[in-house]
Parts: sequence; C-alpha cells; structure tokens
Amino acid sequence: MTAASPSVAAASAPNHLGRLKALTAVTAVAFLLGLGMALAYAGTDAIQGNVQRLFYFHMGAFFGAFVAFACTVVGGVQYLRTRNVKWDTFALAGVEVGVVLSFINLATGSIWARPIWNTWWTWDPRLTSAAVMVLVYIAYLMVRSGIENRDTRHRFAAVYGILAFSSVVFTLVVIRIRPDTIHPAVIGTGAQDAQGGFAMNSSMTTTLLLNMAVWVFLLTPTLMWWRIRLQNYADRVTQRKIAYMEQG
Amino acid sequence: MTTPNTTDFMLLGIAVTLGAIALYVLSLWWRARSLKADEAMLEQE
Amino acid sequence: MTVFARAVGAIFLKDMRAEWRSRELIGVMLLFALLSVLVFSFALELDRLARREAISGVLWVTVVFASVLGLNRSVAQERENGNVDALLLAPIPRAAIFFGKFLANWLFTAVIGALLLPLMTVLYNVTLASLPVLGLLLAGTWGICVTGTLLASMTLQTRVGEALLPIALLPIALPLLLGTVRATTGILTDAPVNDWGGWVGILLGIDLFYTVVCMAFYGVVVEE
Repeated sequence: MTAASPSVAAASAPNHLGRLKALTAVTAVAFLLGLGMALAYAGTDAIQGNVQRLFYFHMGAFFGAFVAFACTVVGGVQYLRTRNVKWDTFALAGVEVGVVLSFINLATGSIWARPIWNTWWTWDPRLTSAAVMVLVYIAYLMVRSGIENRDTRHRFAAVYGILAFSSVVFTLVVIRIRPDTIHPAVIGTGAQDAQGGFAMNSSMTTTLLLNMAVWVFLLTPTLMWWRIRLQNYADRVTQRKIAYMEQG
Repeated sequence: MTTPNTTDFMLLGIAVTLGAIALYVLSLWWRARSLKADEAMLEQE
Repeated sequence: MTVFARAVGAIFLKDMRAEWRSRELIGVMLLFALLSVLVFSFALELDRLARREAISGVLWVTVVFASVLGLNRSVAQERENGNVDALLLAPIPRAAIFFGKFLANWLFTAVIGALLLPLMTVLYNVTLASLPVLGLLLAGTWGICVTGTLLASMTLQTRVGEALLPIALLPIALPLLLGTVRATTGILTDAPVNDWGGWVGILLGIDLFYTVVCMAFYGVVVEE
C-alpha cells in the first residue's frame, strides 16, 4: 500500500496542493511516455497487428483498479477500527477511481476482442465477473447516497466496500481455476481454450512493466488524491452550510 | 502470414482510454466548481 | 450447549413460531416462485436440448428473487415491531442474533427451492429432483441468505429501502450464482464430475468466507 500512503496523509492535512500538482505533472509525463512506448517502441504482434498494443493499458487499468479497490478495503477496515472520517474518504476515492479504471479495462478489452474474437462481448466467466465488479461498486455508490445519517453512511460503506472486494478476487482467480474461459492469460499458464494469447518479446515486456508501474503507482494515486481533496472540500462546505442553517 | 491491419481498433481503444480519464477529471473539476459556487453564496448571505 | 448455540436456537425458534402464526413470508415467497416458473415456461418455448442448458438459470433466478422478497420481509417485520432494539439489548453475542435470523431465512428459502425441484421436473420434463441438485440448492441458498440477511439490515435503513436489496445483493452473490448454475447444468447434462466439481469447491469456499465475514460485520451494522 506504499503507493497510496501520500493520499492518506493528504486527507488529514489538506495543504499539500504543491506536492499534488508535482505528482500530477510527473504522472502526465510518465503516462505519455508509456503511451509512446506502447505505440512506437514495443514490437508489433505479427498475428494480431496494432490492436494488441491496447493490451498495455488493458492490464494497467485492471491492476490500477485492483489497487484502488484494495484501498477501499484498507479504508473500510481502518474506518471501522478508528472511526476517523479520513479513512472513509480514502475508501470512497478508491471506489470512484476503481470504477473509472475498470471501465477502461472493459472497454479496451471489448475493442480488442472485436477483431480478435470477432465479437465485442461474450458471456465468458471472466468477462461476466469483470462487468459485475463494476456493478458492485456502482451499487456501493448507490448504498452510500441513500443514507442520510453520516455515521451510518460511513459504517455501511465500509462494510459494503469490504464485501465488494470478493468480486475483484473472483475476477482475478476465475481465469486460473476455471478452464472454460476463453480469456487468455499472458502471464503464467492460462486456460486451454484461451483464444488470442500471444508471446511477448523483450520490448513488449519492458513496455508492459512501465505501463503497469505508471497506472498502478502514479495514475491511480494521483486521481485518488484529487478525489480526496474534493471530498474534504465538500465536507467543509457542508459543515459551513449546517452552521449557517443553525444560525439563521 | 500477413499481419492484419487493426490500427483503427487501436486508435478507438486509445481514444476511449484517454476520454474516460478526461471525463473523470472533468467531473472532479465540475464538482469542485459547483462547491465553490455554494461557498460563494454562503459568503454573500 | 454453549451460550452461543442456545442464543442462535432461541432466535431461530422465535422466527419459526412467528412465521407459523402469520404464514405470510412463506406464502409470498411460494406464490412468487410459482408465478416466476410459469412465466419462464411461457417465455422460454425451448426445444428439449436448449431447455436442459437453460433450466438451472430459471431455477436460480427464481430462488434468488424469492429469497430477496423473503429477506426484505423478514428484516422489515423485525424493525416494524422494534424487535431488533429489544434483541440488541439482550446479553447475547450479536453474531448469535445474526446467525439465528440467517438460519430462519435460509430454511425458508431452501424450502421454497426444494418445492420448486419436483414442480419444475414435471413442468419442464427435466430431472431436477435429485440429491446432488438438492445439495447444490442448500449450498447456494446458504451463501445468498448469509449475505442477504446482512445486506437487508443495511439497505432497509436507506432512503431507497427495499428496492436496494437486489441491487446490493445480486452482484455480491454472483460468484455463488455462477458456481451453482454451472454445477447444476453439469449435473443435468450428465457431464463428468471433473467438469463441474471445481465449481462446487468454489461454492463451498465462498459460503464459508461470506459466513465468517457477515457474522463479524453484523455488530457494526446494527450498532447505534
């Protein structure tokens, strides 16, 4: 969880805008570098052509989402232990960023599948569970928004955020334990029915590692940090509104 | 074996990726802006 | 007998007695399940082979929605009469209260499912009424009811209320559903055990995990 620790610090001390801006700049540069490597440095896959390059973002987005949702679990557990609101904010940021990243993961996968599997979508266990993963976290946001009492909202969100992680774990392991998925496993051995797998040469491996690092260690924490700032701001405005109401 | 031309799909995928991140950043900015408007209204009254 | 088991037993018996007097839970669930099965049989005018592939889906969708109805009702009844507050004041572990309520919900759902098996065997001409399918039914409804009992206690406190339970429960229960549907289809199509046995293992693992997690969390959900 080292990647996310600056965001926690930010939740308690809101005056780190300079650092956040610096991190954002680093993230932007590194993201463009990763994009450039995927487009120009990595070798073209002989069988799949250029669309295979989407794979670098597909994987990066999934593991970015994984880290974001793991942050939600950490935030939930820590909130229940300490009852400090900053952990709830941390968990909420994880959910929102995770939903955006898993949407990118689904969209890139679907666009890749069109020329390779000859279909945008198939009801394969892995694809289904990845889609449901997004729905679980949208349900999290709905549960949250339906509760008026602040304390109850934070408690329920923590519980649901921890339970929801089972769908992430399921998505991750279903490819290893179920041989009837057609989703290829590029790292390690995948399903025997997998279609569209490919071998990676060294330029591809380097590009993948760089992109994974950018998505997991830079993009996810940066987005979460901005989300945490927004939430702290929203909490301050709400408090001022309440104070104003009580006055008038 | 010839390598198929799948560049269009690659471009579409990159556009969706960048678009999704941009939309999320825009939503953060939008929410911050409406909070600022709320705050300004509180100060006025 | 330990304090925990006695408390679980007492809560379970209380729910059973209440249901025996009113009979409203089982009645609503059963009527819904019957209607659902009939509607599906009109909607899916399938040939025999396709029917065997789709029938476990019909069974499980029906069971899940019937359980959602029952769970909402059972938790709402408890809240309407202020029973929850009285129970929480009692000097018994929160996990025991949860487990007792869960056992009652599980029994209701499993009974509905068990009644559906012979009915669907007749209506769809597929051998559903068998011991392996009954075993799967018990394992699958276990996980659905254990998460459902916890989530219903949460969703009934939201503004959306009862409508939120299926939205919150279905995605969490999906791993269970995927496992049970695949295993049921495997049994119905006479596939070798190796082809679907893995799903049963996953199912039991998830059941155990959800049971532990939900029992641990119930105290947090009901605290004031």
